[in-house]
Amino acid sequence: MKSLKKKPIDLFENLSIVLTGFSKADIVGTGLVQTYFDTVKKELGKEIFEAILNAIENIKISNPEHPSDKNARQIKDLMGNINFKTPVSQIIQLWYTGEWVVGTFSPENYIVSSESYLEGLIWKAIAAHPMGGKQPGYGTWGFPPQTFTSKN
Amino acid sequence: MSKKTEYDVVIVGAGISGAIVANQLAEKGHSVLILEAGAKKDFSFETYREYLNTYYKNTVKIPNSPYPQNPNAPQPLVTDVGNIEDGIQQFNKDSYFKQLGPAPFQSTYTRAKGGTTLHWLGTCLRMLPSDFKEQDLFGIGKNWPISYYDLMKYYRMAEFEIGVSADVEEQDYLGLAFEEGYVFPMTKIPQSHLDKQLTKWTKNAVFSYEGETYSYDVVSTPQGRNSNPNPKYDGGKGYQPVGAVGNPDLGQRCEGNSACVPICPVQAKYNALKTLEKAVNNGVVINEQCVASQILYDDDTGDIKGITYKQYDDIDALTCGESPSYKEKTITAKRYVLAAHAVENAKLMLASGFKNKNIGQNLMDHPVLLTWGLAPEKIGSFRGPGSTSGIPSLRDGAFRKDRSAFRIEIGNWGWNWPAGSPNTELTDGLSENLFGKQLRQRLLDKVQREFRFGFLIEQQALSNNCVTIDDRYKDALGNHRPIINYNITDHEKEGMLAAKSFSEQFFETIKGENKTQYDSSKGGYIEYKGEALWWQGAGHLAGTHIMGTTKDNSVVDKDQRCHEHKNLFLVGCGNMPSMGTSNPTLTMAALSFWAAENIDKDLTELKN
Repeated sequence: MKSLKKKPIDLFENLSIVLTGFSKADIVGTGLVQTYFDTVKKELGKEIFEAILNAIENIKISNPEHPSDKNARQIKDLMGNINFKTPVSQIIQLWYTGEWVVGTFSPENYIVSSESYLEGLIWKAIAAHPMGGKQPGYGTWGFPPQTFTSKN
Repeated sequence: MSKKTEYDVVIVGAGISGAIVANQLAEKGHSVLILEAGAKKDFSFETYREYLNTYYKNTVKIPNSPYPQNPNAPQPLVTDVGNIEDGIQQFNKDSYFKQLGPAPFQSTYTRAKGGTTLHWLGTCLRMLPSDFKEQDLFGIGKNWPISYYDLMKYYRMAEFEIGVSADVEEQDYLGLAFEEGYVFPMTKIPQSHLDKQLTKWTKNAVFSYEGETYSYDVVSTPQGRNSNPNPKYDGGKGYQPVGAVGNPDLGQRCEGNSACVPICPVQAKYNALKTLEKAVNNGVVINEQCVASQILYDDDTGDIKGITYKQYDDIDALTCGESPSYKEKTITAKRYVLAAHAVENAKLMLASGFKNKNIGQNLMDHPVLLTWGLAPEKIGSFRGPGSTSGIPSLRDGAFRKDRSAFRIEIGNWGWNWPAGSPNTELTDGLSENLFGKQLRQRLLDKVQREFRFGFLIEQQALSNNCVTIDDRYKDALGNHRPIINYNITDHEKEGMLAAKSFSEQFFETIKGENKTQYDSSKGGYIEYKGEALWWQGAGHLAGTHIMGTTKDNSVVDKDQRCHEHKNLFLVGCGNMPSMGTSNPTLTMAALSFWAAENIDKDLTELKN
């Protein structure tokens, strides 16, 4: 990762914030930034991972929580790039579900850990909670969903 | 400790039926041994947590996902049923069942201590009085040799044991009678916001089909999960909820973990480990890793002489690695009980050369037609128990002579069952190159409006739907693998057509969007009268050794005793000649109390 000016893990954190649409507090709050940094590096291989971090460094995202229209277009281009589309989707899936996804129902798919499943951002995205964890409490399912949303 | 040479009773299987019979008999002072095929597990909460972690880490979260496959006691999986290729249903080659079709059998069970209650939803509906005599009333299926009223006392015992939450005043529909003053142990589980909105949106509307109209009444479902104890229970004595085994302060009340199937993390939902622990405290011995393989009987009298089982060596508890090393033993007792599961009981009797021709026949399930769509507004899916209400209006009526009845289950977990939501919604968003807040927003807007119906279609007991065995198909221990012959009839398909029409009219009524779309390559897809239909299994396996009046029409008598083997009793859903539209566990539990009473009488006579 010698070609990078910023610390790779900081770039990965910014990348994660902008790709998932969650705040820095949400991302850091999972306690999984380092774990996922290591997972992605191991799974993609150093070369592709560095290329992604390089690309994100070049985009110079000023505010990852609220990317400018220009930054958003640049990320969209990144996702449209044949070299990056799959790895970027895999990073989003990892954050959303805790699972490293090689392909639909691929036997190589795996969930990184129990924690990674429970910290899957998809549950926050749908204003729910992971099935089988972070229980909201007795009777809460009877309330309208507005009182339950975690999207603040 | 002295080693017992003969027990009063040997029971095969430590699921809910075996647990109830064992505990009841132990309370009466009889000595009881249970043979359990599953891997050795203690009653600690840490052991249960291993199941939970296995679930978390499993990428395919099917009903058996927390419970590892054990080659010494294999279990069927929903993923065994593959796609339809060139018109031919495919099956996973490693499947436990050998399926001969023509329709795929899509239901499963769990071979572990606690049985399938480890992953059941907890629905505790009594059967309707008419379900017990449907041959007389509608000319379909089979009659029971006992009535709803004979079973009422035992339903109450089952509702106590399981700990059922419901408000009795909401449950007296379609002829369901309760004793004057009866209340359930706990008050009803709160209905979901979805249930409440559907009630509001369908007020005064009706469903019309073939010249008849039916109400859309959304009724709270009795459930085997802890809510608030009803102070009026048992003549004002109240009820003490039973928490988690090994951690009794936990699970005293449902906490909304939204994972009843496949595992309640806090055991607020009943599982048979609760009854088993009580049984052990009452002196019951459970021998684990013991797979019954042969029932020995006297050819002349039919009397059972012993049960041969294979006790396999310890295996890695987490991975359940293959372990073909075992010892063969035979155990004798005064009375024998098979409580191994409808399919396993039948298999064991067939492997033992039992001659009753009804064994294995009349296999039933509830084929579940799934429909799904979007509510007109966000209803807060993926919260709470899997289902908290149903619509019972089509569970009974004169129409049953022409088409199957069904119960409508309202699903609280979006399109999780029919379409793999929310993960599939994520994949869809990614395929459109969405990311960041746009992706989040799409997921929120879509998934929060998702809900589904499950139409549990009544299936008749028919001899062609059956479990058989063949020496060519055996498992690692050399025990037979079940061979399944299964189909659904036009009577049931007519029920599915009505269900589909119900769903279409319903979505119109609530001004929602019906998004039901059936993939012709998926197992369970059929076309009938030009309509596409798609059904799944409910996990309600029943009817493989039904009760009846003679050995020609049944395997057991009304007392749950084998016609031809007087010291052998059978328990479990296999005894049921029909299920109506009720999830069968509560009725199975009631029958187990009834069976235990009969075995106790029998043993008491023997001892005196």
